[in-house]
Amino acid sequence: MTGNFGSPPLPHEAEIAVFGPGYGETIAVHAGNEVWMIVDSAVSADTGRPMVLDYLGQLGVDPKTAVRKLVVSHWDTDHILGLANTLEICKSAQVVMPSALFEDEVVKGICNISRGAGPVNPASEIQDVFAKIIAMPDDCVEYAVVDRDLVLGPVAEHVRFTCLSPTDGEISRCVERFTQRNRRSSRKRYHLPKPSENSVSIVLHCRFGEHHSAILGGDLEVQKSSDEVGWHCVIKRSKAVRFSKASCYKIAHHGSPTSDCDEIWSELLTANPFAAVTPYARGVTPRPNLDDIERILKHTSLAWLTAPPSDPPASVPPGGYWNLASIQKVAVPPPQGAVRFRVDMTDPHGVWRPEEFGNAKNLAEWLK
Amino acid sequence: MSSVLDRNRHLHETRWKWKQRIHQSDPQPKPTRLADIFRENQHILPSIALGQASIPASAAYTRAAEFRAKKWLEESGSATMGISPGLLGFMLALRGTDEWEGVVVDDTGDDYLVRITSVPAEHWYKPEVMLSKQSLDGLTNLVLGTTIRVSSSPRINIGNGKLAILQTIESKGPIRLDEEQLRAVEDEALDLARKLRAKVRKE
Repeated sequence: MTGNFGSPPLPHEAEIAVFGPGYGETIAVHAGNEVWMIVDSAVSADTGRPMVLDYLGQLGVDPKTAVRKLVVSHWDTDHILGLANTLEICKSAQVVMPSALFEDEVVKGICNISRGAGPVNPASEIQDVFAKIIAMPDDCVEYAVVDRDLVLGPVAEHVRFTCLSPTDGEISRCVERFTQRNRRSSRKRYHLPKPSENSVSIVLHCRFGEHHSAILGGDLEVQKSSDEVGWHCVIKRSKAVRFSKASCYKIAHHGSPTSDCDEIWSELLTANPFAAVTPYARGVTPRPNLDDIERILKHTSLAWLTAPPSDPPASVPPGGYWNLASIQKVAVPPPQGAVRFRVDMTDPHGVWRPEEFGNAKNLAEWLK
Repeated sequence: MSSVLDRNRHLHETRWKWKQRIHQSDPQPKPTRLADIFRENQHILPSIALGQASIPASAAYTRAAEFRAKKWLEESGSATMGISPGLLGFMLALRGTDEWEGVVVDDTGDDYLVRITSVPAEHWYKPEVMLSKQSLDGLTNLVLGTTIRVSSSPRINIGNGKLAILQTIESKGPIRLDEEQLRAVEDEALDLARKLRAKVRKE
């Protein structure tokens, strides 16, 4: 997307900019001192380029040197398209990903699937990313596991980004699912197994100095049956490690109720935190729907949606075939937008300054 | 929500203008009309060219096909779909192993269901098929329920004798691999995994 994004953040300013939907969502994080991190990738419907790279270009930031980390939170299509392009350009970035992606059975599964995959398939994109990584220097990849701090480079003291998810157990279960899939006789399936319940999704706690922090929720979901996986595991760990509560939150999984519980808001976040969510229009139930919006607004009034929520898809007409009108309705690229939060890391009384771009609006606006 | 309504209203108006222009100015549209309309309206109906750059444009369109494919998945246990070059084009889905169905939208704005049968074995694994611009001549002659036979060459014989040329978007090789091929893919994958792990930062 294009827009007047103004000037880049000052060296002592933290920034979290959430973009979507292009094909998915993506986040740019400024850790101070011109050190940037990109989380996931979304491709702009306007330019066909990764949205974050367009954004950094308009700020005058050189992604070749400024982007130090490229986080692949998980491999859903709406989080990884354009990743190979991003990696190609961000020459000095290290890739952060769940270790599951490099396990034998997972790579086997991806190679098999990408043979029959269409153009809109994460397996093809991941293979492109693999090819880029092979061509990169050693030490270019960092596994994300719970409690690991990411090495960011020349940032200020007390700036620390820590993985809250996934756990080793979640990764093992993911690999097991791929193993089972690879043993099946049928080879004509075109889609990667979903990262079940998105349990391997990376969640990051970003501490910006002594006074401000944020949580980037990925697509992690709540597992009611166990506190060893999903958000309950994150909450349990955060109590043990005593992370500072975050005042800014990238809402997980497009506001879906499967990724939300009261404890996220009470245990991990400050009261009435700043929050951003991106819409997801491609599922049977577009997110966030009105129930989701109302639920989020009960926890915070400072939440922004980067673009209008989508209408529910039209039901299949009698006879089972779509007519032109229904196809037209979904054929227009979705409106895009971005929400940006900035704060002075050195100011103990500073609060995040929200800015809207494109079609972004405060969540409450969509209820009017 | 007003912007959603505005967008839908804009679409209706746009479609109406197309129809007016086609039917009033030229009651018998020339065969190239579809390509012209498509090109002129790319700002709202972007082409689904190949590659990553095109994916956002196709995403929403894919939704329609996905619902069809999901329906067939429930019925037959396997399905996939291919995507046309744009709205005014061809939506294709593969049902089972030998029957493809799709919707063709012609340059009057009407859409037709098309069935493709007798897909030869060497083609069945190619779900991504698009109509090239050269094929547009044939579209106006399609009628509901037209049966298309796919020959081994990339041409489709549309019922009444007109030919449409199919172009394979991406041929990534057959999905049905024999045991030897499977082993080769897996050996290749294991080698790749080993090389990838060598790139991981040491503790």
